[in-house]
Amino acid sequence: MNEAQAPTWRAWLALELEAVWLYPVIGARHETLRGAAAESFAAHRERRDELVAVFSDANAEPPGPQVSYDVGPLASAEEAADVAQSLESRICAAIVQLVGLVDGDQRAAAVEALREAALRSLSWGDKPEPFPGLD
Amino acid sequence: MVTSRRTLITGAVAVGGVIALGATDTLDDVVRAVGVEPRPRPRASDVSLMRAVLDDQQRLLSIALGTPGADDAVALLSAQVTQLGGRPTTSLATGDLAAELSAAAEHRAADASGAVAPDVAMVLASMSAGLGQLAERRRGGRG
Repeated sequence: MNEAQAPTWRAWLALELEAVWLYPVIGARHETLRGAAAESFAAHRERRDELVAVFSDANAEPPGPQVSYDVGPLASAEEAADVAQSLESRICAAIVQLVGLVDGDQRAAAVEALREAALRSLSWGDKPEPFPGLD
Repeated sequence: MVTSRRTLITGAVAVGGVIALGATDTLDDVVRAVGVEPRPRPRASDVSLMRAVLDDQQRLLSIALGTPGADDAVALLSAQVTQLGGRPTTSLATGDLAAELSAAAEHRAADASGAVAPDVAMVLASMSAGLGQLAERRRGGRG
């Protein structure tokens, strides 16, 4: 991680922290989504830990989690799924940025993470897009 | 921040434009001579890579066109071809569409890792993700 890349790494990790917060809330509020939320939570927790390790390896301070996030009331399962889709789409956008800034193993890992986030977005009801992460 | 694929593709990737500009630095020298800083130009390897990608995407589109009930795949693949500067093919071919999409998603991911220009890498990575989504949907999973 260099100075030019750091903001993008931070943006990605901040979103992973949001995901680690969001999915337990979705699972707690909507029993029908509990399994999917648990699966997404586990994936994002693992990704968060990987990203924190990137900061540690670079002797850089990672962003921390917020106490809570403004995700709306999540009143219905549909609303919760929409919020999850939106978050996964923002993660795709953050990762695409990083793909353009890194190379070698880090780029390959970012591409793989992008693909996983795009599939997770699909699992929350999104439709296939020609260019996920790019508008 | 979401990057516009139009900005990326028209700036560096669209195959027609890439080939028309050429992959040498000759034009850069010309514009420098008149005091203008040239825009970054695609490397030769990226030009040949994008030509191969466009050919493969057209092949996939042919298979989608030859697959009954694959309107979603036709629409997505046509959009990708168009954004790359190509004209979507109208020829039909046979094949296992879901398997071909999965393989293409893997190939675009590898292409992204091998691209020189950041913009090219971003577009190819995004295409890989989109193909992966489509393959998953064709297999009946996720959503």
